[in-house]
Amino acid sequence: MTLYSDSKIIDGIRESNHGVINFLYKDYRPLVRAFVRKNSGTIQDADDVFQDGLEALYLRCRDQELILTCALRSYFYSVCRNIWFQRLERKQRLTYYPDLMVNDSSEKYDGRDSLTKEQKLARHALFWKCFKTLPENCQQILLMYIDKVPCKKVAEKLGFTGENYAKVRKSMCVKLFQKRIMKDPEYLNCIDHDQ
Amino acid sequence: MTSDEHLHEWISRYNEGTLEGDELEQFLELLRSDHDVRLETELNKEVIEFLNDRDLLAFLKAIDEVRLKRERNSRLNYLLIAAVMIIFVAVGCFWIYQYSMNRFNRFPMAIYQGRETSRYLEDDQQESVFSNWTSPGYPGSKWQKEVVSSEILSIALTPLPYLEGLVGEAMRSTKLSLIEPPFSLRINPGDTITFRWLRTETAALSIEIMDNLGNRLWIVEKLTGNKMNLRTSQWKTGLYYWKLLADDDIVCVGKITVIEQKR
Repeated sequence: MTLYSDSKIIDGIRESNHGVINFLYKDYRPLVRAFVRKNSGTIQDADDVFQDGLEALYLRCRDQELILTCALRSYFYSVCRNIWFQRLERKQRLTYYPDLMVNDSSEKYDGRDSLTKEQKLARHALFWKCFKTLPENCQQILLMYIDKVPCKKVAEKLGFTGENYAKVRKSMCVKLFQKRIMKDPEYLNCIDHDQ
Repeated sequence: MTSDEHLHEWISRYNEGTLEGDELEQFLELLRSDHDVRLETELNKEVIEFLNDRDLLAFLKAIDEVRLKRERNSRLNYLLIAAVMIIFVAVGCFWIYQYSMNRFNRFPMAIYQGRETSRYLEDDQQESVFSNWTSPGYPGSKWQKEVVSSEILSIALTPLPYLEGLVGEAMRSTKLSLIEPPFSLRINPGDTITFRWLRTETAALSIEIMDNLGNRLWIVEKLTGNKMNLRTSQWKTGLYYWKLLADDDIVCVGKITVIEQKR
């Protein structure tokens, strides 16, 4: 197994490098699994937390410079730990208690802010899960719609009979996507009931 | 356009910022009054934001690809382990089968293929009779090549309890009495054993030879004289039992140990 330094891992995450992700699966996931299972979670919960932890790490690396004052492994562990506690809290199984593992307060996953982040991560995981279940051409239509590709071009590219049909399909796909999200049992856990 | 589709279009246009005028007013009113519309509008906004983040989508896709690859590899590993275990078990079973076949078939069951047995046979004729015995099912007699290891030897010399108990016990028979061989005989491989008996009544005589596992190896039927020589040139080292029968009744049982002896 190739060993990566912390900075290489951060670079690899920024570039979605498969080798680095594979390394994290091999090296970091057992820690998260052990922790989650020890704290009334299942392997599936642990894998979800690990995946959300990866996304959190990716967003953190991408959006701002990550200056580590502790090992990346400890930072990642702390991130996953917070995600899991907040998830437990959200599920009203456990009350949140502050992070004691990472000594450097600057690298802590901020409590109040991360509550939102945790929900966001859970929602992203849900969106991604539902997006993958959409038919291939629906996924393409949605991405083209986001890219603001004109309906005429969408019709040409996907071999639709006309611009209007492409419009109808776009609307159908958006509806289908949202419907799948809202029908997912996880959705109720993700929404902010105070809204 | 149904009201549902209409609402969806409004939501999309509202989030795109293209909803204007009266439509916008109406929609804002709806947003204020309807919790579900508010949730749906929020979700639509989030979904668009999510799909807009292509880098994040690429990263999630990469995670999925790695995870799937790992799962596939892990399944393959399990299959490989299972296959190796199956191979080990199969080889083990085959070895045990071969071992037991060698053990049980040191002398395959013999079948007499001659024509004459109902008349008295002289020694040399009996030898020719025995030359007609064949070993069916085992061409090339693989067992002949068997190397008698000490382990196999000890197995071959293990007594068979139910026959061992009968050795030396002459049954009540008025039909004949055995003169030789002794009930317990130790010979070298290839020696000739002489069976001699004294008849008092006419009876159909036969001799059965068994190995120490109780497998019947030789049957000599319809003996009419008062003597029979049995050559043991094909016999392997081991313990054998013989039964002398008159009209299918056991007259006596004896044992023969074939083992290399210092002369």
